[in-house]
Amino acid sequence: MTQEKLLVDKVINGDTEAFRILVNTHHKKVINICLSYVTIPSDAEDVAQEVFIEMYRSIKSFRKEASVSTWLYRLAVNKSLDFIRQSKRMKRGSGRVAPMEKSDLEKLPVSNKKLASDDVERSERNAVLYSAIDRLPERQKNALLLSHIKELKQQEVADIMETTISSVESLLIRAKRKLKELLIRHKEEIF
Amino acid sequence: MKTGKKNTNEFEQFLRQELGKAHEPSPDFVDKVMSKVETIKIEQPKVKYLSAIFKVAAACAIVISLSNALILLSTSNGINTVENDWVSVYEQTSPTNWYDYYEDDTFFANNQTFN
Repeated sequence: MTQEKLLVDKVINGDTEAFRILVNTHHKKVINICLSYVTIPSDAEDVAQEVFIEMYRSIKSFRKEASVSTWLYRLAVNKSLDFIRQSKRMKRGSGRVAPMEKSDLEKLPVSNKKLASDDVERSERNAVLYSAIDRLPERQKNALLLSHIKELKQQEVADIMETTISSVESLLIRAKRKLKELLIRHKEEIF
Repeated sequence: MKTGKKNTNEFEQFLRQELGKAHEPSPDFVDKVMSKVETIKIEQPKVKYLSAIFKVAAACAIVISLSNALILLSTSNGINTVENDWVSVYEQTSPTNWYDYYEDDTFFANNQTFN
């Protein structure tokens, strides 16, 4: 039995310190997975907190043959998608990234006009990109977002998506092709 | 060809730049999680199974009482009354009922045959 599975057993027997070790080991990756979906760091941390709480609650249902990290990262993806769905329902707006409001612009940590315009441009570009990603089919979206997380290995991405590395690759190719099309169409609509 | 490749590389770079963000978690993240976790009690399996058993028992009780009610209803409808089965067949629908049989003409006809 691996070290992680021993820790899981300890948690089941009521050892919260064992759970702290698990949180310490995985929290960075979990937060980065959540961040790639929800895009706002504070929201990503909130979702990651929910992920760990859910993990603790349902630790008894953890199947020993699976890897703890894969289970946890899958939970992170699902929780992030739930968060996006919820916020969409609340806003009924454009998607994951809400358009910047005046108050947000005022909060930008910039000292001169050039920097401010750079930041606005970047956030707008980011919003356009995420709204295009949002229109991709879910599997393609997952492949694209997860494969851009530096901390995740190819095999880990494949495990989270319950598929093989080669199918993740083909999903990735299709996702990028579609994303490019969407962005070009968006550009044409504007100009 | 070269322009296409250049565009692809630019697109890849753009994606990497926009999506490959790494975030340093806030220093008290683990403590926050642990403070929440300490208030949660892991559901004990015995309690879990006990509640499942209660649910199954309740479902069985409902099924049994419903089937009993159905049986009672069907038997109460099946008790023979004056208007049912044989009586109804002969008195209401059959053209050769008992009244016809005891009619004078019938007996007359019978007498005729005897003679």
